[in-house]
Amino acid sequence: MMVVADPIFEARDIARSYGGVAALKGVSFAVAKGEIVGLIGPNGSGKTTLFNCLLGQLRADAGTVSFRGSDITGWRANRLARAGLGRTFQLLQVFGGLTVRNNLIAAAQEHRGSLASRLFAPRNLGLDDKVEQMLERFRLTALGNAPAASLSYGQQKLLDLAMALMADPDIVFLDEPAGGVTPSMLDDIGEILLELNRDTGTTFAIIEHNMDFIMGLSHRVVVLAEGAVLTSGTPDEVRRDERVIEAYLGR
Amino acid sequence: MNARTTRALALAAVIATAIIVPLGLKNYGIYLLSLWALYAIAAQGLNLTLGYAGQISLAQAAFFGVGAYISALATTSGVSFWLAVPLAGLACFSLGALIGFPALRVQHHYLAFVTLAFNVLVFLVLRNEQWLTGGTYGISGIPRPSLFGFSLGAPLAFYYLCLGLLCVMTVAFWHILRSPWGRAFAALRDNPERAASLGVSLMSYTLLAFAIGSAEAGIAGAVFAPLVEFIDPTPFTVSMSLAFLLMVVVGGQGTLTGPFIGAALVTLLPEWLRWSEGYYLMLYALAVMVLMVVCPSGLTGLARMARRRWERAQ
Repeated sequence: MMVVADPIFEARDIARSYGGVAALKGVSFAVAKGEIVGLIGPNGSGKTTLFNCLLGQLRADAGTVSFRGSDITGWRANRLARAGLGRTFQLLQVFGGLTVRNNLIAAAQEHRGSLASRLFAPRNLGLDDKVEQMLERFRLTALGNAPAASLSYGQQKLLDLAMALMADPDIVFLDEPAGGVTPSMLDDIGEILLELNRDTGTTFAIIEHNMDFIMGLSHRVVVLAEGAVLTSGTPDEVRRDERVIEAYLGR
Repeated sequence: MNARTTRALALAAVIATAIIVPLGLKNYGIYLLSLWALYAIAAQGLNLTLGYAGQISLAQAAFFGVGAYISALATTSGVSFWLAVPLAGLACFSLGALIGFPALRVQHHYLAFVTLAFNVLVFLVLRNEQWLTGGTYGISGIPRPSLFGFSLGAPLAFYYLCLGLLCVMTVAFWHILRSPWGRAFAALRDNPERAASLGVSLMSYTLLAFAIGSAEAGIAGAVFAPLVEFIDPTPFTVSMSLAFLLMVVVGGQGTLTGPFIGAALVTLLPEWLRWSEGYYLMLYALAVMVLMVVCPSGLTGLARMARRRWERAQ
């Protein structure tokens, strides 16, 4: 695997099996600060399992994870979130019963003050400006007070992404941001991600099946196949790699 | 008149009614109203655990009982009632947090059984540890308190104590729901995995939901003891926990007013159905079954449905 200089996030030899089936066979995965890394691979290659192991939804059987130089192996999801790691899920997940504004506040409120202080804090914890800024960026301003469940699929997808970004995470893991999104909205999403990466230096690791989208966005692409890293390199290098083509065709 | 004024007026009317109604009632009627106020507090607590945090608990009567016994033991040995009530609340808060731990591992009917077993355990302790609780003989002669030298011994005065407590607890409850905590509870109920990925601690909020919900039952129980003046283990069995569950579900879980209506139904409906003599429990059961089939969101849900239909007809 390619050596990443000055990684902000680094996972080493992550292994995980379900029953007797090894889903991840010692995957190492590093991301440099300010980088956009694409994670691709055929269905069942272990991409989502890897994200879940890295972000506390699943416990890895083996391996270590570090973030900004400190060991974060085995941390719970909520602790990782507060440390500055954001994520979305493959199936979009918003709080359907809450309004769009409350979804956004819920996405950042636990980063403000202590648990006890939040009982007596102002209801919106001074997040109103940030919320309006996000609503504008994701073109959801008109829907701010609507219950999230009443939004269209595409709008919920935007909200889902906005929630992952609300707390200004240092690194954001996105699981198929292009899934089920119309082409024009996809352009918007790509633009927003590039803009964030350029303006605030936000680092991204992105699982994606839409090759045009991910190749256009990523600085570097990592290919996973059968629970192991097959290769990694620039989008052009990966596109030309015969092993990648083989893995996708399943030869 | 906007919605806010309407709501404020409605609230004022309800409080005024709660103050005026007992003036025309005999002692038994006032007793039932006092019971309603205390049941409503305990049901409100369960409503936080169940309706807002989404965790089933069949142990609310156990906390109600622990609160009652703490208050009875304290006040019969000379400790002030005004100290016994917060003490009962605090004890049930800690005990409730402890009972919340299984909820971090098990959910739904498994959790129902864990909490049910806890209720049985508490009942057995109350019945068997005679040296402390008096066993089946219970504790009698529980004194009613006085406030600033004014005795709350008379039924009406004691009812106003219960009503005042209900108001205070409801304001506190409302504050919790309006605070960022309320939003975290809602987020966790909606989607725990997503909430965790955004930094919401499942552990902290689940334990808090149990602790606060149980504390409310403990405080209600602490006032229940001097209301009835004699307690034994019988009112604190699993069937009372089921009654609290009924109050929350029939009233409408996850709504502020639901437990008030549910508690009224459970305390008053059996009285209203007395004319039917032996059949009243059957009628009651039938009414609950029909309601649950027609409107699973309870009586507040039924009211919402009716209002929507009325608005459409306009």
